[in-house]
Amino acid sequence: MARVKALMLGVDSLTYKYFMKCNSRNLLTLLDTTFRGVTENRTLQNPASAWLTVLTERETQVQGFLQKAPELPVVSETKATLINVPITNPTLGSPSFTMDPSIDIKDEVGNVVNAALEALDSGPVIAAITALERVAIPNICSLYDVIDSAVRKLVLAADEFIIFSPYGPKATSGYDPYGVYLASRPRPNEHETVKLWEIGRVFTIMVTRK
Amino acid sequence: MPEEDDAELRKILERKKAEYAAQALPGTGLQGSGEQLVTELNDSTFDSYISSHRAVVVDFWAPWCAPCFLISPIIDDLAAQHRKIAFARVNADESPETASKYYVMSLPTVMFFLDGQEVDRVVGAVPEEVLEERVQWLESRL
Repeated sequence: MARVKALMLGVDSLTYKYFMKCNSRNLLTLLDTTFRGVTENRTLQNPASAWLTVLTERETQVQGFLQKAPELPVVSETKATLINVPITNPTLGSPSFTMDPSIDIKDEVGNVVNAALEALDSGPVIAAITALERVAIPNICSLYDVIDSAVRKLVLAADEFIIFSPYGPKATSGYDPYGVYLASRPRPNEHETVKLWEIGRVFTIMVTRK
Repeated sequence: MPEEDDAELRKILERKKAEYAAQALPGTGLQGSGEQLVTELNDSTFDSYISSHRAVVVDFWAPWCAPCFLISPIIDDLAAQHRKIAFARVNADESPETASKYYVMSLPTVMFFLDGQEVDRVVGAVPEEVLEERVQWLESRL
């Protein structure tokens, strides 16, 4: 039986606030045409905690990055290919990058997109882009342009998708608690913010069709 | 290091800090000095705020409303550019009485008040030019 081409793409620190300011056409189109929501996360404001919560479907708080990833139920259930997931440093999966400003956004995004497109041919993919929180540049819209075109390529190749950010951009203290959620499937309680553990659940349902 | 050099260095650092802060806060509703340009209102503060300012722009939003986040940086920018007008934000979920009183049925809704009366409203996430035009009209009445 053919496996569903399902994509979970997390773009850490992605925010709706720049979609219109940066004229991110593909992201705006998705906002207009797919099931949308706002992730809310006030307590799991570091990459590893946020991603562990998504991939274990329960709140998991850790300090910094893990040396070794634990059992991740969403990955075991969906048998998804992992790409650049920032639970460990360097990131988990292949390709894998170090979580520091030395990695160029185009290198990261290009490699993640190529790997995801290849992996989608054989099944579900869980991928992350971390550039928005690693790299500080004055022209944020140039980063959004790169992400916008990457999202287009990936969404066109997937049968089902969830694009999300586990939190917004860096704020005066911590991160903006509100992030992005765009998906090909509806979710319950659409007049409530999306909790991180829900994302893993929706993805598992997408893939297993349970 | 001589004391006068320290003072000079402090001045340069302070100037750089101010310049950086002024550039670093687009779309946050804060000026470089940290001044809040968009006031958060609720059911208990709304009426007094509207009646105490000649011209007010109010952005009704909710945390679950994705399009609300599209226009919030636009409101912040307009607030920075049009200092004669008061800008405010109301979380419609937390202030249901105000939202209901003004028949706010969809989010985001941006309302324009002049002398305490509603004179215009824009529903939905619209381009900056649309809001800018309404704000300029409101400003022309002052």
